[in-house]
Formats: sequence, structure tokens, C-alpha cells
Amino acid sequence: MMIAYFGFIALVAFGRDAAGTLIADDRVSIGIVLGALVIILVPVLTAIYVRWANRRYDAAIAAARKAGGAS
Amino acid sequence: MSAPAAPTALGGTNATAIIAFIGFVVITLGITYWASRLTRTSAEFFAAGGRISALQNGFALAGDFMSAASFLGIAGLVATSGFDGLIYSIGFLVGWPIITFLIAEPLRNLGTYTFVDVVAFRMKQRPVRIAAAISTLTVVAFYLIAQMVGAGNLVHLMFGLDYTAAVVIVGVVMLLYVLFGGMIATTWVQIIKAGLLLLGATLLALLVLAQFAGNPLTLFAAARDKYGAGVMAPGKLVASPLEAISLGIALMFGTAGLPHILMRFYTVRDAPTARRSVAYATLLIGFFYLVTFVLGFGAMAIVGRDVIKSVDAGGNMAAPLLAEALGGTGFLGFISAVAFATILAVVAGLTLSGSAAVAHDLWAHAVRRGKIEEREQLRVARIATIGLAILAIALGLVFKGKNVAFMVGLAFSIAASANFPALLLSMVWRRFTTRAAVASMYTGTITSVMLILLSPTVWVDLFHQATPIIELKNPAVISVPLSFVVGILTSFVWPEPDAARGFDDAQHRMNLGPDST
Repeated sequence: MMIAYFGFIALVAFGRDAAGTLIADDRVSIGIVLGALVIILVPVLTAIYVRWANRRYDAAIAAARKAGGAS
Repeated sequence: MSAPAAPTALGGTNATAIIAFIGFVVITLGITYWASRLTRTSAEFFAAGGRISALQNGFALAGDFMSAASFLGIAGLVATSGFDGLIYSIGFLVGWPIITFLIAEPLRNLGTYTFVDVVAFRMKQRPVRIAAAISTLTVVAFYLIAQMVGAGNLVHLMFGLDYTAAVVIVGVVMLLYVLFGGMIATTWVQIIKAGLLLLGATLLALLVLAQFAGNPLTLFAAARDKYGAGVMAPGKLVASPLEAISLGIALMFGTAGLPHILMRFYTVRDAPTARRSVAYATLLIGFFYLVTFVLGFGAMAIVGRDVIKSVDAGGNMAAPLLAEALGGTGFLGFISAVAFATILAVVAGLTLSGSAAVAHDLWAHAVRRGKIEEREQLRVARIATIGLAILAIALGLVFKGKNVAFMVGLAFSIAASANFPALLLSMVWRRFTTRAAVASMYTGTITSVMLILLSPTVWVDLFHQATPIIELKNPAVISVPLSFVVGILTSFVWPEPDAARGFDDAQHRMNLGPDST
């Protein structure tokens, strides 16, 4: 996530010409396509993380409570 | 229809706008009345009693984020600067996962009403609370400037009302929500508004795409034909690499330091719910920014930059103008009312978080040293709300005529430099101390405010000096690392064994929640 974002910012900061390169019959620039991809990527990664965390979390909580009760 | 003449119905009386807006105010005041009967304790006033569901909180979080700056400001930035507007959208969005991954869960488990509860958990209460309240109020003040300026412009253009009267109306309606309905009313106002905003923006974007045979590529091509390929490349807004990185840091870490966003994690039942609500919010916000981007380019291609700038020099009226060009005055009215509702709801959330800083952190902990009656805390919160409403109105009048998205960028810089370093260090670093937390927060607040005062935005544009003392428009690249360094150095120079001993307990509660201790 951070890589995607700071990669994008670095492109904007240092590769101004590259980001402005036109593709698809000169109708859109690389920067815009990449930007849109970052926007789509962020909710997808977040959803995956939350799904994973809520499963792991419930298991960990149960384990910790059990350990606490036993001691 | 795709080539409107310069004169617009903006500024005249718009029946749809007035009806839609009055409808919104009546419904939300009804909710406020209902909420006021549920709001008797501080827990209900600040955190809605923890009874908000994940989906509801997701909408409310998204609502807090889809402010006037996002909707009007970014659509305007994209319309007038092209690609540069996208940098803001992405920065705003990426801050979200940072919240999920780092902050939401510990925050939920350790705190009660404000993020300061987390920082102060194992520290000496008073100095930390005072420093955090100051930085919180500074962030709230800058954010309020953006919202009030947007509100003033919008109501002025919608109803032809005087700018001053418009700002006063926003301040008073918002005051009613917060004062009587607290967090319950503020949350529901936010949910309703988020739904309306998503609906309105999506409809408008579909209308735009319909003009270009449903193909976004054709839309970009039309903008290119009109203004050259430069609209799709990084432009003058981020003049130097340093400027771009600075903006990136501010937007990314600022979200994790915004008091009114952090406060929403106390309105849900537990940490998993808080996490799920972030997932909903990220989805909604991501979708919204894609839509906004289409709106910006649509306004550029269909309305044209000259017309947009002739109505409002900051470009903030791009989205309403686009609505008028595509859907007539009726649709303009609807979009204007939605945008206005947006500002009202965000201003209410900001004011509530400011009032929590005053009542919970300053009054209850710093002045009364934690020994305070429930009713007194609530009363102080309500008095603070009134004070903040007056402040909001005053700031709105002083800062007339600035681009609102940029002001929000400044609020993010302060949040990123003052709140985020102290919050992060207190959660992950055993040796972090009271003195260090305080030093880091003051450093962040003072450095970013000073750098902003000396920057081109304030020094040249507002004080009318010839040259800025510092070229950098956004201070985050200097102030965030400085704030971290000060916090770390101070901890090494003056260690605090008491605070370090509390670390394990804090970690335990952070990961397992308060119930398991």
C-alpha cells in the first residue's frame, strides 16, 4: 500500500514527463491510469486485511482468554 | 445542452435548492430532537453510547471525509488544474488504510472519547492533555476555515444570500445539531448526507459519461482537445519534488491525526466492528473519488475553465455548474443542497471533536484532574460547543475567497505533525515519555503553524507581502520528521521509568481490549 502510494508520489515528483505520457490513442495519460488503479487497489487491500484480521483476532482473543483463565 | 452560455442560474433564487435544503434541515433537526432525548451522559454526547453499527459508522466515517473540500474543492481542482487534483484524491484515500493498520484498534481498546486517552494512558495526565487539546483545537480551527469558506460561497451562490449571512446560518444550524443531539445526531446527519452525496455525485457522473458515449477515454480526449495534453500531467500545483512529497506526507499521516475521524472509533461496540467500519468507509470513499475525478474532467470539458473561474476564482463551483449544464436548474438545486448538507455535517463533527478536547481533556483532566461530575463535563462540553460555533463563524469571515481543498491540506499537515508522531510513538515505543509526548506535540503544532504563516499562501496572499519567507506551501516534509526527532531525543535525554513500566499493561489492553484485563 505504502509502496503503491509513495511510488505514485515519486512518479509525480520526479517523473513529470513520464506521468504525462499519453497512451491509448493519446486519449489518456499513464499518470491518470495509475492513479485510478491506486484508488481501486486501496479498498481491495483494506477489505482483505480486515477479513484476515477479524479472523486472526477472534482466534487470538480466545486463545489469550483461555491462557489467562488457566493460570 | 453541452455548451452552456456563461450566465447561470447560480446566485438567483433556486426553488429546488431551497426545497431540498429546507427538507434536509427539517429532517435532520427532527433527528436531533429524537437524539436529544437519548443524550443524557457524556458517553452519549461524545460517543453515541457505543451503539453505532459497522455499516452505519462506515457511512459516517466516509461522510466525515467526503467534505466540501472533497466534493467542491477537488472537482474544482481537477477542472482547473487537471491531473493535480488526482494527487489530493489519492492522498486523502490512502490515509485510510493507515488508520486501519496502525491506529483504529489500539485506539478503540485504550481510549474513551479522544485519541489523547491513548497517548496519556501511561503518562502524566495534565501536560499531555493540555498539549493535545491545543493541537486538536488548532487542527479543528484550520479545518473549520475550509468548511466555513465553502459554506459561505455555496449558500451565497445558491440563494443569492450575503456571504456573511450564509456563514452565520451554517454556524447556527450546526450548533443546534451538536448542542442538543451530540454524537448521535451528528452521526445520523453524517449518514444521511453521505448517502445523498454519493447518490447525487453518481447521477452527475453518469450524466457526464452519457455525453461521451459512456467511455471515460473519450471524456479525457475531449478535455485534451480543449486545453492540451498538459491537463493529464503533473502541473504547477506541485511545483517541486519537495512540494509533492510534502503534500503526500501530510495527506497520508494527517488522516491518522484528525480528531473528528479518530473520535468515530469510540462510537462502535468493539475493535472488530471498528475495523469493519473502516473497510466500508474506504470502499465508499474510493468510489466517491473516482466519481469526483470524472466530475472534474467533465466540468473542464463541458463547462470550461473560463466559466468556472468567472463564477468563483478558486474553482469551487465546478461541480454545481456541471450539474446545471447537464441537468438544468432543478439538478443544480439538488446538488447545491447536497453540497450544503455536506458542509453542515462535517462542521458539526469538527465542532464536536473540538468540544471533546475542551471538556474531556482540558476541563475534566487538566483543570479538575479527573475528579469531575458527569453533569459538569457535559455542561462544559456544551459551552465549548457554543464557543467553537462562534469561532467557526469568525474564521469563515476572515478567510473569504481561498480554495478550500488547499486549506484542508494545511489542516492535514498540522494533524500529521502534531498528533500522529506522539500517538504512534506512545503505542509502539516503551521508552516514550511524558515530556517527549508534550515536546513532540508542541513542536509539530508550532512548526507547522509557523511554516504556514511564512508560506506563500498566508504571507503573500493574505498579508500581501511581496515575497514569501519560505517557498514551501506545505510544511509536512519538515515538521513531521522534526516532531518525531524531538519526541525520540527528549525520551533519551529524560527517561521516565513510570511511563515505561506502564507499557506492558498498555500493550495488553491495546491488543485484547479493556474487558480482558
